[in-house]
Amino acid sequence: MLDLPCKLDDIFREFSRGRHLSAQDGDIYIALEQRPDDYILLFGRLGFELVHDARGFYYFAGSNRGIAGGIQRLALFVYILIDWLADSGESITEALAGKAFAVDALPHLASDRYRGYLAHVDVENADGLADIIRTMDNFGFAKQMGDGSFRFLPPVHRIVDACIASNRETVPTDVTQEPESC
Amino acid sequence: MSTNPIRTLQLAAEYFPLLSYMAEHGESVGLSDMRSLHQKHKPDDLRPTDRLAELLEEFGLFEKSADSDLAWEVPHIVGEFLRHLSMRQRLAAPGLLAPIIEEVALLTEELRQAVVATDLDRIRNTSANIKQALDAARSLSRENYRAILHEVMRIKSRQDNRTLRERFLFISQLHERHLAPLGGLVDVGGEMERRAAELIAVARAARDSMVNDPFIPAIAAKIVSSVRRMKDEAWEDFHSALREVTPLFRQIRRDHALATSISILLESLRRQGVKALDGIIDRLQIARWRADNVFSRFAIEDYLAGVEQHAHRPEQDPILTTDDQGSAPFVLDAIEVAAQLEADGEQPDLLRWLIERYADFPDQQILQAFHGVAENPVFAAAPGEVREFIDTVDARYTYHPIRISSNA
Repeated sequence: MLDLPCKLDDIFREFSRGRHLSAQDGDIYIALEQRPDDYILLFGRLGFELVHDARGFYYFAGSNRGIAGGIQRLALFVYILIDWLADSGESITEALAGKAFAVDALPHLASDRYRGYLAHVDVENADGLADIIRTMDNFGFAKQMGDGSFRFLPPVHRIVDACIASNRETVPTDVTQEPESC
Repeated sequence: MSTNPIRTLQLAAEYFPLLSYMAEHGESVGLSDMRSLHQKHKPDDLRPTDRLAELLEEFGLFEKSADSDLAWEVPHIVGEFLRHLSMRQRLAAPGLLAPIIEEVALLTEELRQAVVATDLDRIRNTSANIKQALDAARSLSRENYRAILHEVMRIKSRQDNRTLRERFLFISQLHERHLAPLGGLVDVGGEMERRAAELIAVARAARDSMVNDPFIPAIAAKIVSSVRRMKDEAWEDFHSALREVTPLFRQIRRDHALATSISILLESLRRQGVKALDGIIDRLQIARWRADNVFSRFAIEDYLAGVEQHAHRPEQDPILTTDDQGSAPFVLDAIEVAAQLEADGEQPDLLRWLIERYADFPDQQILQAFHGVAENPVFAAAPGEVREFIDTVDARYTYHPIRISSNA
């Protein structure tokens, strides 16, 4: 009989629906952490690429087929929040490390500029924001706290990385140049 | 101005919050604003505000503003003293230490000449000046370190009220214009170490050449210990400041780079619309597989192979039979099975559930239903690790159980 890693079915179920697993996920994350190479090998043999990010999370490399719109909303939600944190003098590092945000105090609908950005992805009201936070929770990017607040989980770094990498490609010069709105 | 230090210090103690506030803000305050500050910082004071201003001016704690006789400010030297007391020193100008070190070099040469001339009075006088210069360097270094610490704490506690961009500019300046040149002076191999070594060498030479003098050995020993103290404390202050600033500098630099990237992206979004997010989508792919792919297909292939083997058993009944009354054969409706499975909820073993739930149906129908459910995207299937077996009227099945649950 094969020596299969434990929690295989639970882990596969979570990964296959797009979830990123981090310490927040308890037993199944611990199982991954104990034998990461075995899982990577096993899933690799089955045709799945399990990615282990050193910042403390795992996910299946996937595709954006059919969910591109949803990803745009998630990314824009995170970027607007970071832009607002920068203007407010708050620490982005602390925010990404799990600082709690009250949903009803979010800046996304509080300014014309941010509302204008969100209109591009058809988000116009608080329900739209709540949907985004719920989706982020499902994918393991954030955790809803049950008291009207949420906090980011380590996989949110993928969303942040995507912005930096995208800019590196489109703006080949130093990205630390003077921005217009920062 | 009255020269009564004791009374001056008493007044400074009595009105410390007011003086400290004005010293911190560094601006002149008119009489009406002064009344507000007076009320805020000492609400129970019986002294009228205009009288208070006159009194503080009389004892040198206030001076009249350059542009008005009815506005006052805290003199620079008093402000420095108050900041020293509350350990909230301001950052010294980056080049302030260099002239002191240069002065130490000049005094060292003067001491050397005095030693060569065995001029005792000149040696005493020069050594006193050296001691003052060394104390000034030490004090400047310590105050600079406290000022840096103060700024770091203000940033960490968000009391600096700066945006991220302003904070980045400030900490960059702190790092590059204060710490970097300071490191060049006080770190190993720097100007301070070289000058200190020269001074120690001259002091030792004085001690060796005038070993029988009743004062010189003590003077030389005092110079050497002062130099070492200054060098050690300046080095320690610099590295303590570096330890405080460097991680914060790196964090703010990282945050600032990210915020800049995001600003650029949001600006692109404003100009180009949602197309600006295409690069993000390409880099943020998410797995969304139905579990009817690899695992379930392997499992189904196993089962089909098993069915094939059972089909060769000579004693097996026909797949479809009719009853004696000519009624319709038992056919398991896939839609009905799916609805029943959804109603029963998650099952740890799909095959066992089918066999037990539809015990009256032939194996062929059960296996067809199994195939239909496992392939149905409405359900998520996951294979188990431990091999199981189950008996029906017709056969014994050995298999890996498939856990099935609704995707809804």
